[in-house]
Amino acid sequence: MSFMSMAMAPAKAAKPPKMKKKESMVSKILTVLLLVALFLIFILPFYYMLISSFKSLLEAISPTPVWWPEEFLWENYQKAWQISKMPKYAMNSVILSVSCSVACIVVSVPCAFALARMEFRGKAVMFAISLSSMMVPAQCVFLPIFIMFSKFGWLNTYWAMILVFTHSGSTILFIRNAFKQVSNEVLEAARLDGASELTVMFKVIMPMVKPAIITMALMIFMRRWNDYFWNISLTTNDNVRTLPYAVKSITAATDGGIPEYAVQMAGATVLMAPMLIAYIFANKQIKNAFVYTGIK
Amino acid sequence: MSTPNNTEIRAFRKLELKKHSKGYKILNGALKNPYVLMAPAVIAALAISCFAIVYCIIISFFKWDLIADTRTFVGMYNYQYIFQDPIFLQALSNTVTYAIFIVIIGTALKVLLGVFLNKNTPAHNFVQTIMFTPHIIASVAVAVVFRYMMMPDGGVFNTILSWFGLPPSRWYMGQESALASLIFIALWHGLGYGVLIAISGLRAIPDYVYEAARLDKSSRTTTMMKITMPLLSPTIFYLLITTCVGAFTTYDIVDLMTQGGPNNATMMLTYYIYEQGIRFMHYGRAMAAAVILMIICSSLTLLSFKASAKKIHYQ
Repeated sequence: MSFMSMAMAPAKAAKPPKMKKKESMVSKILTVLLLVALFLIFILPFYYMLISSFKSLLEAISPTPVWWPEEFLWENYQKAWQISKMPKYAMNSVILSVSCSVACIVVSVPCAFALARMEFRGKAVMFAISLSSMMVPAQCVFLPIFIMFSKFGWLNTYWAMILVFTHSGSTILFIRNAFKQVSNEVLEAARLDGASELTVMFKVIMPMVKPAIITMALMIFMRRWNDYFWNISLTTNDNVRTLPYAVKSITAATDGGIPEYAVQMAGATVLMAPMLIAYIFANKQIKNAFVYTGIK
Repeated sequence: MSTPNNTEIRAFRKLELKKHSKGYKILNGALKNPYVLMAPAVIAALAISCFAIVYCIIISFFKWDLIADTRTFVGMYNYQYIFQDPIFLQALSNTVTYAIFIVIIGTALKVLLGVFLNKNTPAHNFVQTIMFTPHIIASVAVAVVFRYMMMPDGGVFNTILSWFGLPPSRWYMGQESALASLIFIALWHGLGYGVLIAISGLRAIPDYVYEAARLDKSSRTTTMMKITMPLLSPTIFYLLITTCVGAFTTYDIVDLMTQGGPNNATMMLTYYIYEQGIRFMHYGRAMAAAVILMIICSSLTLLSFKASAKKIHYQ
């Protein structure tokens, strides 16, 4: 209910007295047609993925696409679960997503605090260093990291997979901007009253920047959950690989030479389900998070 | 001068008097020291990103013999080699083609659809919400479903083509159509995010500007070209840069759909680096290619930083 009202509210409030009257019938029809076309283009792959995950082996490869299976086969999910050892991958996904968000926040927050509220020698240099990850994409630097971790024997460890997500320039930048918005007077008042830095930090500042921190934690969680690239560049076996890799590994599965498309779709559905459910319930917040952080 | 939460802070102070342990004092001191606060992040940055950048540049001048585990300085040899390697040149031209198409078509579509969807009715908002969905799901799921839908026999795409009387295509399996298929998927994948950013840029344009235009009896086209577009230009610039960097660093979809094939038709710079580095273990060559990509991407990012420092706000 609250979700509905949230979606409707701004429409009523911001009804602009614009050129409503001038809109002709033709442009109205065109608008509706374009909306419907966009809706279909963007919903079709999702619909087809979901519906195909219930198809039988033969329906999935029929020469004309089957838009509604005769019988809904839940076995595909079972199969996907077994073929790819999904429980293990799912477990890894959860462990890594949670620990990466925690690690990144624990490292970024103090750094962002210092950058936002303190003046010290070498600040510009340290600022540049802490944003360095924004300058170069992972696809350029994975090889040195791979070589380093293999020298240390860290390939296929949780530690390595967490470490590459620990430092994120965009997270530091975003939380720094949140810290900057905390007014100085409140902090001065607290300090004048003899509050220790620890008190100032945890009782005064933290509550004010909490939304920003939660937003970033969720963004990192999402990035880690969906990540495929680090999965393949830092692992050689399936000890610490996550769900996206499991779904990829199903694409090789066949039944008597016939590729098991239905099982692949079931796997893909499982992979995207958590994000999709979160998006259905909190689409406004998630979209806002992407807009305000400016992270792709 | 009294402050609003004086009493609150006194309460904290009282609470705090109880704590006199040594650890508390040390922690308290640490919080005043910016170097201590920044240490974890800076060390992580140095150990991962900075190390990788420097190492990448250094190794690109070396020939790394893995069997003997020796590194010999070869100067610019790796660069000369990759610029004579037809596969690298193909990768470079593919990536540039891919980027040009995605940046031009993508940005145009994002801005136009942003203007179109910025009506704030439930229907427009709903469609916009649906359009954003691809951005939050894993690229693997996208690749898997598009592989299935682009099947040459019995795939959804060819069926839709036949509805319009068009000949079927081999999509990502065909030499000519593979890159176009990847461009299509990238556009589908990235459109929602761009539209979201475009809309937020449009909403940041103050209403009084439009009021003034209306008073001056400016036509819709003039308003669009003379007011909306210039005021939206920071947003458009941001979209151009992020789309361009995104296009140059595309990897997942290539790996999952075509693996650079067929016959290198979709070989991208990132895939070339990955293949040379991890599969063939030609570290020197791979890192030389990585340096080229790094120069492209970081100059684009620097450009956007410079522009945003000047005047741009894209929120």
